Amino acid sequence: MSKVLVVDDDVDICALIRFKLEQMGHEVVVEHDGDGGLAAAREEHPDLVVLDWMMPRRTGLEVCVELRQDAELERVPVILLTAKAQEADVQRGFAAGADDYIVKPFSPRELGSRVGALLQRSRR
Amino acid sequence: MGLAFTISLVVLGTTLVLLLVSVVAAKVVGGRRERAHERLVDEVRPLVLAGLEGDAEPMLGLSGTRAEVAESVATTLLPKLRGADRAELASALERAGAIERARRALHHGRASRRQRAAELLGAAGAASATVDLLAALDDHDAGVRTSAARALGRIGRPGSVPALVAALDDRRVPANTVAMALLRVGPRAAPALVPALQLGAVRTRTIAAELLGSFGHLPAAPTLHALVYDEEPRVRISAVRALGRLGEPSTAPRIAGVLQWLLAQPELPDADLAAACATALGQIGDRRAAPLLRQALGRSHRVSFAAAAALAELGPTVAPEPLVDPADGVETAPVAAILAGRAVGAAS
Repeated sequence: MSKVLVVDDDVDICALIRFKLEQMGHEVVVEHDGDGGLAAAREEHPDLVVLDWMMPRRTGLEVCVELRQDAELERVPVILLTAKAQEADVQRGFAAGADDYIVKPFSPRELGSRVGALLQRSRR
Repeated sequence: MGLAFTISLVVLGTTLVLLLVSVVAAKVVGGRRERAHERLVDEVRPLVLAGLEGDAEPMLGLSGTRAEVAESVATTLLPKLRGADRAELASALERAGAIERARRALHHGRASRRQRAAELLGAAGAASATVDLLAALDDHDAGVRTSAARALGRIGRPGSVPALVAALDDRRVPANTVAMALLRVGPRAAPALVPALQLGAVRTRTIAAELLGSFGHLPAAPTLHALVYDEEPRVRISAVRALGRLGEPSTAPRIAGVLQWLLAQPELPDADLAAACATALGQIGDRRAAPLLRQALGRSHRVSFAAAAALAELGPTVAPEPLVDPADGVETAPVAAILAGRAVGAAS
């Protein structure tokens, strides 16, 4: 069973993703802001992180950059899940170290597939 | 006097204490209600999420406040979803009777209830509720009318467009709400928008022009072409912008004529229109516009910027003939008249 950290200030989105990923058999940890997300990543050592971009206290992009600079977390796959849909935003997301980029509104089952694929590749 | 003063002080003091107590009590009660509501939402949310898997059962047994909370959760969730999950949840709501309840609730005595119903129907994309929502555009409550317009945009039926345009024209619904709704309907709204170019309200014609340009609806070009000479400045600008997006080459000479007239004035009478003309000429891509665009450089920051961007779009230009030759007789009379604020007879 893999542990997925979901960081989003939208309570409904977090509940939605938790519901979907727990159905798939994953353990889900939820945080609602960037600082909490970073602290949870360091404490929980998740197998994958789903990050919102626009959040209070620290943005998802900043969290992603921090994760990539952390020796213990730099290899953890990160999916950015955000309403920012411009080409330049996507480029910034990948430049910050994200492994995947999903635009809201989103398909939970598609997210589930991407989580599964990234987890599988990261185990190799 | 001393006694009266003392009594006044006591009364004032008592009133203040009572006021303070009631404020604190309201906060405490309000806080408890909010926490109780949050607990209810947390309890009901999993029942709604089960709908993502096509399971309407958990929602079937809900009634009263719990059903209302479930519908509120669904209304919030649905716009955040797309694809099969969204379709499953909408279908589960239908099977749980929530859509039918919402349709009935559009006639509820309380405006807040009617408004929530419209929001749910829009979020669920409930096409079966289109007729009810069209009727709700005439609701006496402004919030209900706005929610109904938003819902019709989300449902996206082109048949809603005339009613939305009418609601815009007679100010029953805010302009930005209708514009957003029409944008959501998309290019299928375009045929019903063309007549709106000739309706009464300036904002209706302006919004219709902008949307038709965004949708790339070429059949609108002749009407937009005429609107370049409209008596209202904002309509002229929107028409020129739309023609630029349509990129129809036959409209370039008129736009160039307007720009040339504007540039010929000692004081630029309408920088926004000049900038819109320059941009449109760049988008249409007729290289014969290059000399005129070069003339526009140095005439106010906005116009220069638009002209420079248009020249960049045209690319390297070797234009033997200018697009507008003054010797051939530019239509200066209508342009001068409209910019002087007088109405011009229909030009084609």
